[in-house]
Amino acid sequence: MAIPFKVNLRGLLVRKVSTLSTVVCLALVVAVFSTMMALAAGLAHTFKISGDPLNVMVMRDGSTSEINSGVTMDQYQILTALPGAAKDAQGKSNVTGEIVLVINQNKRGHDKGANIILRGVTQQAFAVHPEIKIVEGRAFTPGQSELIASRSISRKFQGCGLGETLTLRKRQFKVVGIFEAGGTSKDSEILGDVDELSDAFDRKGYFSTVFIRAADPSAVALIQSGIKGDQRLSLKAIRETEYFAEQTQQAGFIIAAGLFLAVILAVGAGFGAANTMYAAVSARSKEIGTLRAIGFSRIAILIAYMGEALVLGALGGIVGILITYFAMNGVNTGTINWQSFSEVSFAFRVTPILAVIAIAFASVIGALGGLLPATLAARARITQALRQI
Amino acid sequence: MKLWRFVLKNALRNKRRTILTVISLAISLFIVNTLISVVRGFDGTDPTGPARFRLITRHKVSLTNPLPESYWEKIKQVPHVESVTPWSWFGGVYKDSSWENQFARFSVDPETYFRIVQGEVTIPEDQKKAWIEDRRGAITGKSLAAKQHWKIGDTISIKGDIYPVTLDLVLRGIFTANKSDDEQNLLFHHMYVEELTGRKGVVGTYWMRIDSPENSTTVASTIDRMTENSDAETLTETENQFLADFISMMGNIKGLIGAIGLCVGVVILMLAANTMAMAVRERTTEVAVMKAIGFSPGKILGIVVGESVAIGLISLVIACGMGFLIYNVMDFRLPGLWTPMFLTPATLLMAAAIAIGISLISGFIPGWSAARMGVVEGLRKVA
Repeated sequence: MAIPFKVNLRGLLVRKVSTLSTVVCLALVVAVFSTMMALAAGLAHTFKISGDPLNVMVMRDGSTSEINSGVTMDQYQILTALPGAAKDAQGKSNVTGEIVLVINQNKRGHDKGANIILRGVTQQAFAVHPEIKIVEGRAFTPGQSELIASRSISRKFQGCGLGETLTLRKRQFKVVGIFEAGGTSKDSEILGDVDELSDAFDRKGYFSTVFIRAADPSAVALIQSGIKGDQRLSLKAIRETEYFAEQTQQAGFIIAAGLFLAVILAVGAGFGAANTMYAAVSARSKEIGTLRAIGFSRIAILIAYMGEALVLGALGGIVGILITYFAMNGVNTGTINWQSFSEVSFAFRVTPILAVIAIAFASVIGALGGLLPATLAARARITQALRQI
Repeated sequence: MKLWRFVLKNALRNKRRTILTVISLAISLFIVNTLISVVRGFDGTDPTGPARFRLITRHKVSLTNPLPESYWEKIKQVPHVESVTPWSWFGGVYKDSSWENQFARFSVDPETYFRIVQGEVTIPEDQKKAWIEDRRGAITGKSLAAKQHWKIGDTISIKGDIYPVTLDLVLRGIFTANKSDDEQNLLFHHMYVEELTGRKGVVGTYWMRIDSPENSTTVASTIDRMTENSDAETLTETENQFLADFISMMGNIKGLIGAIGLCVGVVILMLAANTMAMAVRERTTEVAVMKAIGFSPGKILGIVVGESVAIGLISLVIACGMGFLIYNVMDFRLPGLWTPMFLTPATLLMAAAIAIGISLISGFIPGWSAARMGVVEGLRKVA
């Protein structure tokens, strides 16, 4: 017969200080772990949703990022005529040649700068990247020295707010609009007219990347094979989703560091939990003896104390994930994208899966910490346990 | 003090609890050590070290914008500059893009390179000569060579990504550096890359040695003023500042580490305080007896705090030993982290301050209540 679980829950409440400190320890370990994971998840999520399954990115063969790619105007002309691309109402293909520049701009309130991607685009870009939505002001006018900045960039960087002016290579560009891009990597960019920007930066004559939006999912392969088969083009065409999947690897480092910290700290907290459980067992040795004497089996005792440890762990896990959720979830942050050497902003993401993992992780620490004390309790000799004062 | 023996005996009374506490504290303190060394690594090299003789000139806009080769001659002419070399990140892919094959690849001017790192990098004279003479030659640090199992004469092929060329290098030398974190680079001729890319005359950054650290500001402003209003305006900084900027691009890492450190600190406090509270609770009767026979409240407090500090110190020694073994002897690094994680005296001092501070607090709370406990009340309580 099993021992009513209430007995053990009451036990946890009796030694309030000890229980509380163990729960706090476990909670903090879980908070550290889940914060790192939420960071990695946020970064990975940004990259993941940034890739549009319908978009094909065309870059120079051998280049690994838009920054070190180049597509000539002749190549671009060929690309606009390829079959498979979606067409707008006027019958124009949804193909946009874009130039990707990196500028260094000071953050607000700092005299230290960070790199931002400045993307010169054509009017077609709004059809190819439908996630871009102007939320304040208006779109830039072609042929004008105007820019639109993402909401997060406009908040973080000097000169990037609505109505402010950015000096680029001695030319003044006015920020006329603020856009949002659904949390994608475009949310870390500034956009402007491709001709104006390539003129300002003396980069006329080629694009960094050409984006082709497929008419439907099956047309993606058609576009890719069309580019591969054309002798005049030595370009590579990859799906936008693939391009961003590769960048997601960056989150790997954060995950590695998070796991490293979590595993080591878990060992420390596990010993702490063991201490608490040992104290629990030794304080109740008489009670254990009594339970054994009135017929509860060793297994029942083991299960009861393991259960107590498990509850201790799970409590820590729940508190820990709640700390992370309330303190970190949705908090915006930024890091460098090693592919483009520029800022990518993203938000911490506490996902349901992460919550489950975190609670399970803490429960396991608790259970491992409780294993030896519970065994000790189960193995207690009835007579000895009862004789103890 | 005579009571020391008593304090130690007390600490060892419940061996299991003490051992568990020591292990958990040691592990948490080890994490504290790790966090401090990571931050210290990010803070750049030792401000009193040889790095203060070096400056880096980069494009003002960003590291990805190249500088013209013509600046090389110009910088050479600047007063107080002893030697200057192009220092360009090549990037590229060695074998594949997995973590073990990620290492820094730079193109430099071989002869000036050795003048800039004089006293810090040593290489056999014949290997140095072989590298300088072979345009396709490359050198690498001992620690990277060991990791990649390279021998002199091996060919190393790097497929370019920034540049659409493939380098076919021959390893001509293996150098040793004073710090093994300086041994993680693969270096090759600037001119070889230039030749392959069709003499574009571009350089990533310029790396220079100056005659005295006091002149760093003067040299930096001279160079930056020289390039003002040109197509490629520059930003010249000390090597340490350059590294600090580089780190800050990754985001608020220090803030994150600080937050983690705070959590770990509270964990340590909770673990230690819990143990001390348990220990004192068990000894209520005994403390009352001690007070009855004349121990002053101050002594009682001292005994409890002393025990807590003793446990803290033992944990500290183990934590530092672990850190020393893992980071200093085994040279362990987190994958992707290029900074070394060595423990320095400053790191140890900081860890010691944290350990002792926390021990004092965690001993003080139960110690204080023990010291103030009424004798009669304490004697009546059955543990």
